[in-house]
Amino acid sequence: DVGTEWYHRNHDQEKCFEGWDGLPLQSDECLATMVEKECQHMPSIDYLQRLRSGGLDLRARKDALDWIGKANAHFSFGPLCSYLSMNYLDRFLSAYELPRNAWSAQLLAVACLSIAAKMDETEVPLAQDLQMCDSKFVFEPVTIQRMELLVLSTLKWRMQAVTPFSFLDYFIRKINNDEAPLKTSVQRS
Amino acid sequence: MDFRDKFKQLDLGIGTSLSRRPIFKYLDKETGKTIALKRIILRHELLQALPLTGSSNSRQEQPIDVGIPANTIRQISLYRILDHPNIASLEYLGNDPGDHFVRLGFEYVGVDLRKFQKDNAIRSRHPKLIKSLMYQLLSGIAYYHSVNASHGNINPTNVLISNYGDDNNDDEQVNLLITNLDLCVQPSYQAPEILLESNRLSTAVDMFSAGCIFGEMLIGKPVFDTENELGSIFKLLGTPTKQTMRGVIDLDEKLKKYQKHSPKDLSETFIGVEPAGIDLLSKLLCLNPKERIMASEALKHRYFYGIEAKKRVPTPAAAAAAEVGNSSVGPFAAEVGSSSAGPSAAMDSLAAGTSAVVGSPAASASVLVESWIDMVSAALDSSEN
Repeated sequence: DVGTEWYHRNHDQEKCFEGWDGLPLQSDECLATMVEKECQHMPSIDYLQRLRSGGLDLRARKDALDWIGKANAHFSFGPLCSYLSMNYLDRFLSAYELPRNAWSAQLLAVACLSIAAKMDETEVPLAQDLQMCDSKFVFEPVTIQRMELLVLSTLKWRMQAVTPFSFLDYFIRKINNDEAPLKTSVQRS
Repeated sequence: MDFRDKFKQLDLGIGTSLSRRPIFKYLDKETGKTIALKRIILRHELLQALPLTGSSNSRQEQPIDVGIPANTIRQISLYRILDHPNIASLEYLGNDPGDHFVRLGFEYVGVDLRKFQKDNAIRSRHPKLIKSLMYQLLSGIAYYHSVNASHGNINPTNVLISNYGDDNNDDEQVNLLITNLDLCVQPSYQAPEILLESNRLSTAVDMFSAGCIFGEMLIGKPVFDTENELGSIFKLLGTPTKQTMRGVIDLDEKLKKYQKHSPKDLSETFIGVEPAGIDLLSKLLCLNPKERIMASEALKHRYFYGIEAKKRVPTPAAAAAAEVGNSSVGPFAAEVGSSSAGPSAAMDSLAAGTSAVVGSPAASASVLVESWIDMVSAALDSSEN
């Protein structure tokens, strides 16, 4: 399912930009900008160490990511969507002290997935419906909204993150002698 | 830091917003920069209460949901990545304590295009100036399109002109910035497919708006009527038929009320304009969005031969800052606008400024004291009328 979804998305994009050559984003200069900008979309440097040393709740993070993976598959969202939610989650955890209780990490996961779906998907289920699949806790819509806003403002609204996906197109073009990437190779990677 | 502590409201309003509130400019007390505020509503119930016609926020019908609207998230995160010499940068971002809306402060330099044309009736018609401004406008639009976005609301109040004056007669130095305020403007400068309520919109909508602005610069007044926008568009460009708008929209129903016109020769309306200019104009004002010229192509059009892309010209504030740092750098930067050292330093300082302001913890906390009553009364006002 995920594969077809991805295919459709790429296909749509291609239609939109038919005949559009020399996308400025894909030039060498822009690659440098992207590398630079990627740093703004990563957790802080000590994040991994804090996770390992127990400064952060490793278990809660794992559960949250598990749930995101399941929900992502359940709603057949694209791969970028799950990547973005995990990116938001990690960035949020490294910037904000989340209370150590059973439900806060789950609420964060719901909010991150909801935001990522709104960024990347064309059809987004209502936030309360997102919890349908296998959640231990079910939150009020208003609670989710407040969490969404907390995530958005903590991440300073930098939601259009530079991800590995942003570089794919560039590198595939490079190895293909500047020819437009084949849809199949994009899918495979 | 509190919004009121950081910014001082300047007494001159710059227009009325779509929700019928006056929009003011604010002075950043620290940096001396001027910003203009735009507010984006965070709540669906408010979105529905406000008849925000013409705003990109209201265009798509969404199911009732209490979450943060997807368009709001997309819009703001788009503003966060925009970085181009011809696009006004986002200097401030914060939400009110009640979390009803987000306040966005965009840099505001000079005056908007409408005021520029009014105050400089003769200069603004100068062919060389028009060419330079159009090139900058299209560069900004091309940048928007390169990040898979469209502006959607290009009009003279969203185009700022700066760095002109009696002491500055060099047309190449005049700077243009595209900003993104929701000011009420008539006529709307919207593409025919928007006015015909097509649901297949593309980046081509910006190109038509650019065409409207180009035409307005050439003749010194709006090209199309305020009252009957589609009627006047068809009068000049011809009423579309199934052939000319194929695949864009089902026209039969919607075109019934419009008179049939055949396209006019643009060089009769735009007298004395060089043929390359007329050719570019006709490609921008092409009725069919699928055949309309794209921004990157338009920049390569022969009308622009001999024009070079512009580096960011230091704004007065940035230039002043550079001068304080090293007195020899300041004038040098202003003089050699296209060489490497000066402008890039100015760009760095701009970038640093932006991240410092937007990235401050104050921005993420709820800092703004803005009365909720204001908002509701604005909503009531507009629904009564």
